[in-house]
Amino acid sequence: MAAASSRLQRLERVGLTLTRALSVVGLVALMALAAMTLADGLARWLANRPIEGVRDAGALIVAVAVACCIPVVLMERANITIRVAASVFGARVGRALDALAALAVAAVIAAMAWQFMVFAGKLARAGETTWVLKIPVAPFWYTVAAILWLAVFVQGIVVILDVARAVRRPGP
Amino acid sequence: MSPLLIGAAGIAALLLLILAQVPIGVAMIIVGVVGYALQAGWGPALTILASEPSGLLASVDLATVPLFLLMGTFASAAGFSADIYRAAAAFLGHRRGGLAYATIGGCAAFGAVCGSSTATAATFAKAALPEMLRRGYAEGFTTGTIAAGGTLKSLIPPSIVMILYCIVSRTFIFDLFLAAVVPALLAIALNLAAIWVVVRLDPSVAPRGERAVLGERLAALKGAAPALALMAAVFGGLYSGIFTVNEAASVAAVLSLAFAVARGRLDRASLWRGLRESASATAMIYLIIIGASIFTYYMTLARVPEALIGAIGGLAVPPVAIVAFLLVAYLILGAVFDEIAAMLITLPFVLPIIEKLGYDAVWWGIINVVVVELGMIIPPIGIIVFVLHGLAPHIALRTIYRGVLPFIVADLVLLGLLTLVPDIALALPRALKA
Repeated sequence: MAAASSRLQRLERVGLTLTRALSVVGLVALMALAAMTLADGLARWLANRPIEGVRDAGALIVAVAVACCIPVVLMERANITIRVAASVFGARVGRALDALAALAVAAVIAAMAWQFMVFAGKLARAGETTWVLKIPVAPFWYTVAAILWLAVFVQGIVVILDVARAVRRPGP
Repeated sequence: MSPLLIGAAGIAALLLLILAQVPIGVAMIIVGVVGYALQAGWGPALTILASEPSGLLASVDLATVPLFLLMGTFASAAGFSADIYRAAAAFLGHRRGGLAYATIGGCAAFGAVCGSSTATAATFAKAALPEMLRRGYAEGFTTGTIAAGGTLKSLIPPSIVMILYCIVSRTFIFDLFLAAVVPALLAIALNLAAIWVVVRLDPSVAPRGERAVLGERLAALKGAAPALALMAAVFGGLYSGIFTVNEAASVAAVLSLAFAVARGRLDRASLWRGLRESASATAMIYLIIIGASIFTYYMTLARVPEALIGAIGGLAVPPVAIVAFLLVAYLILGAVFDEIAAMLITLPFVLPIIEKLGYDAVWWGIINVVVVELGMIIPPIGIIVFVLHGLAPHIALRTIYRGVLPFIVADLVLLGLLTLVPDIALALPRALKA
């Protein structure tokens, strides 16, 4: 029992470390884009010469950067959730609902990841590129899809942890 | 099935999932996709799981949310809240209730360099709470003032609530930022008036302090100079038209980071913690927006807004009565719900009604922000009250709620004025466009 509990704690720690690191990578990318946007704005204002391609690639970088933050909110269970049922029907019901809700979240994120793969595939087949720099857009969306699959894996950890909490007998 | 029944079934299913502890954003996605599938089949319904989120993930407008959150993180780390508070207190602290005036003024100023209300209240509490209590201010009055100051943030651009409203309602962010200027000034004035009334009625809650000498005032002002410079860069660039909203958000994030680093206030641990919190808040907001967007898709496909407009058009009541009813409904909903989530869930069918009644979407955005602001301090949820209680557990929740009461009255007066005189919000953007 103690060994199982320790394994679960280790699993949670690994999930948190992995998702937090990924989210910081995303925000650092966003800050880099912000610095380029600032430079672009200044160049346009002072010399009337915007930096070519900042806006063009910006949207795609934003998409990947924000996607990097999705796994961490799942792992930290930081989404806005109303927990009225637990206070009305008791902690046990609350924990059971948490496990079911975690499963529902996993299903939704998996469906999104699958649809993003389909979406990126369509863009790749159509040879879609950005307007100015002609950068192929599909790799960015494949990256978003890959991050969402990682989010599914992370949510899988949350499901395991929540199910374990729901079935665990309360201590003496 | 009639559109009204489809809408009612959708709302019922959504409430059921939310009560089953499914996160609100995910609950909206489930109801939106299933509702869409029942009308148009699973094939098209599943495709919106990529088509809608991809547009939002790649939106440079929505990307201002994480950037303004980062600005708040860096501004807090740079110690801007303490600097601003010290400067305001140096000029106002000797008056009766002076530190309370300084708190409201300081929160308004710090709100301009911080994206979120709860962050503003939490950060400011660290600077103002110990100082006010040390000088003999009453606990309830002190915490009430800080809570009210924190909520002001929602009305002061760059406000994340405003950005979210604009994304879902497809309104220009800059229009809402312009429309917020006069209501924000009015909100500050009403909060200051609330303090004036409280200290007149009960002077013991706020004793007079010592007057700061000129040298102290100048030193405090010098300390606040970087924060004022950041405000000038963001507001000056935005309102003079040099920067777009997205560029202003980039300037804000980069400059606040630069200030925090230059002042040596940003160690690795606080940077790591700040980034983690910003990332989590970013993803939470995006998931709600994605959910709201898919839910809106379903409601629009079912023609629910048109059916509601038809039903309400048949009622023989003046538009202002319908608006008043909606406001009361929001305040009740806010008692059991998160106000921002309530706004995003109801917007798809409430906004068309508002526009049909002859009101402006920008004005409704300002009204929504004031309602969200109120919801942050009214019981039983009052998120900012809980944040303050968390920071000062020795002060009872009841004491904080009692202290917040005069400011709730001030916000209700503001809401009434804005409802009866929409031009308070709309005159400035209209004049500038003309």
